[in-house]
Amino acid sequence: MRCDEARAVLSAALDGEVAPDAAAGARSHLAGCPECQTHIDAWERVRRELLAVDDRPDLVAGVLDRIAHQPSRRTTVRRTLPLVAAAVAGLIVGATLVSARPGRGPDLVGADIPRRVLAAQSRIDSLEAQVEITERGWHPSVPVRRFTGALVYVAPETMILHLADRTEYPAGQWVPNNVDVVVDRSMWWARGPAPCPTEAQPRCTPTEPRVRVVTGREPFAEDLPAPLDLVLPASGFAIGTDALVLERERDFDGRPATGVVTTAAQIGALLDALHVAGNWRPVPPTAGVTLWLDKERLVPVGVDVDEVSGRGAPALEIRLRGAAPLARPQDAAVPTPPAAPVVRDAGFRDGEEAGPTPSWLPAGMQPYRNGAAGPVAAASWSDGRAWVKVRATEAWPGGRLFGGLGEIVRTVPLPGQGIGYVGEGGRKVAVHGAGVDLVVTGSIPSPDLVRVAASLGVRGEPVPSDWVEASTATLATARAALAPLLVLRGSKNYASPSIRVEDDTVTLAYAGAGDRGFVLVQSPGTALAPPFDADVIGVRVRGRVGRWTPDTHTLEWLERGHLIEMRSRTLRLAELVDAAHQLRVAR
Amino acid sequence: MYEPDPAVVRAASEGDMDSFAELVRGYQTPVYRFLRHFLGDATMAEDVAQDTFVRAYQRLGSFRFQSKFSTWVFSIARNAGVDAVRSQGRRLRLVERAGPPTPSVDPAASAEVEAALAALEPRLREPLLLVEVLGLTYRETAAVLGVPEGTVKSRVFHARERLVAWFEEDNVREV
Repeated sequence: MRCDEARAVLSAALDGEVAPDAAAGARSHLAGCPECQTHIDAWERVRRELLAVDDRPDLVAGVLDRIAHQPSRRTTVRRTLPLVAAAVAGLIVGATLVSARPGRGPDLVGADIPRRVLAAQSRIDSLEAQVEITERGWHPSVPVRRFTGALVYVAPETMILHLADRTEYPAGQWVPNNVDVVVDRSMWWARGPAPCPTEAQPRCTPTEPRVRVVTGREPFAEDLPAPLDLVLPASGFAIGTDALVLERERDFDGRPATGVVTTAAQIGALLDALHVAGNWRPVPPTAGVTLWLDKERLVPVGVDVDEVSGRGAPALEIRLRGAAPLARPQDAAVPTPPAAPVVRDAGFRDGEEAGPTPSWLPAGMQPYRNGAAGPVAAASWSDGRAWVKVRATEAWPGGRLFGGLGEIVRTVPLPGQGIGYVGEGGRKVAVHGAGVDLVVTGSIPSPDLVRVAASLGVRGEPVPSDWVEASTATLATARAALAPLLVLRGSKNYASPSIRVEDDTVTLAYAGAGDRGFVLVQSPGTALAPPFDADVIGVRVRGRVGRWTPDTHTLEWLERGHLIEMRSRTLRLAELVDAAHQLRVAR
Repeated sequence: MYEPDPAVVRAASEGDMDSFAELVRGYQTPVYRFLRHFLGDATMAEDVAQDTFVRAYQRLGSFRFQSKFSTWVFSIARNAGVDAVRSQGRRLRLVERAGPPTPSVDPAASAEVEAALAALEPRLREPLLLVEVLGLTYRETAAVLGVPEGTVKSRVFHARERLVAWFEEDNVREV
């Protein structure tokens, strides 16, 4: 073994990322190599020094003071922007791929898909199906893993997923990745192998599965993907416009299915539901995905996740076979939770005070679960499938909007009731009222959420000037702050942007389908800042030479005396470049 | 690494400042250490560490319990650090980033390590600090940086090799 080879193994071993037996060869090399021993000694001394910083300030008082008194400090907002690409995740609009076909209009059939998916949620009140999963490339010693199992869904808030690992592992201490995830109204539990880095497999996975049990959940709580998303990608199509649909249909168990071409970001909720427990190969949000929807029921019957390289068999294939409604959904047997070392109580109690009640709800919506968790009251309604929830509190300390809307929001008029704020790409509508703060969320289209918010009898006021969202601006304000201002025009793939103006810097956040989206930042500038990372790539964008930094997922270029930045962790470079080509000067 | 009770996170996201203070206490040491080494400046590190927790507070509502809370906080710290470097660069309109800082003449071993770290390219320094200071696994580091796990492994190794080379080139005393 050469010195550099041995040291590469020993470096990983120092971090606990290599099994002792796998490092045996490197260690025996080390025993006879003084030069390598010098390196290892230096690494270990560096480690000691790095952990020896002793001038650690107590930050608590300063942080709380900043939150209380200057949350919208101007520099703070600008500096948060690179993360906004991630915060834009969780946004909507049923659109899809634009990258490969710049300028191409939506497929006529595709334009119909999101509307049909959303409409379908009101037709599916139960479902059972056999699940088959094939996963490739998880570990060098285990190139393919196969799972079979069953999925049961009963609207609106019950799901039972059982997966049995059918993989033939090589000899050794491999722990089967058997997984159970059960959600039933106020309770959920999950059982599966404890998380462990792939490179440290199999030695680091305990043989005993990890069990998590949570009770006292709020209705449709966000700590897990909504069960509905596992059987119908509703959140990925909530403000749908158009989708790229494969021309050729495919048969699944004798039933025709339509293929929708997208990326993992659009069906993040579905993939997250599968990955609640156990060890899986990570799926990057930009991975190519073909989602096969049963042509009649719009239920996903197949998901193919591409290899990142775009070559070879799919990295992940999910198949739902024999999908059919339950004969008697009300009789679905929900497995009781296994014994768990800790049962966490999320604190929600049904039946307590429920806060403001809307005077308008979509047809068929009936009260579902009401209650409170501490100072936050929550009330929910469901037509048995689709759902709406209102959370309200009189104890919000301020500084930012209540409800977790993300960094960038946009204002929306509430007819006759002042203004509201829309975030999470339209999936949440927040209202800051006199003495009360509330947020409306649900599986229904965004305009309906706004209508529900406007019917709560709470007049929405602009947030105080020292709240984060106070710099939320209109397009006219942004145009006045920086001209000429580029905006996305002519794309049905993104919703109207959320806009923020900080001095002469304008930030627009565009939400796309599912978790897809990007942030566009424009400020005066005549030179690109020096590259932060050596791995930058020159890119032709809008007829100019720009720069792509893979680590920060940032595309930058100069145009008309402005520095333009586009950031996204959910779009590929080609998709960002394509979106850049659709930018026009705002009028 | 400290992982908070999810009930504490949820309470903090609902505005309970005592719970949020508990989270800050739990992470202030690793976050500050990371930024101190990453930025190479104690004052800036303290400011950016505060910024990290203010950002975390503003985003708590969007934390979905689908990743470890520690990884989520460290991602924010890392990005806050990157932004600090970037905005500094933008403000100063530097044509080129300054070269490696002059090695410290301070004989203290820690100063030697700081100088060696400062000479590392950020793309090597970052994963090394995430692994060494924050104790993240390669998989967690990969998630924070948005790069493949194999890239983390390779960059950590190359970072260590560069540090040793720096010590040797400079013929420094024992660190």
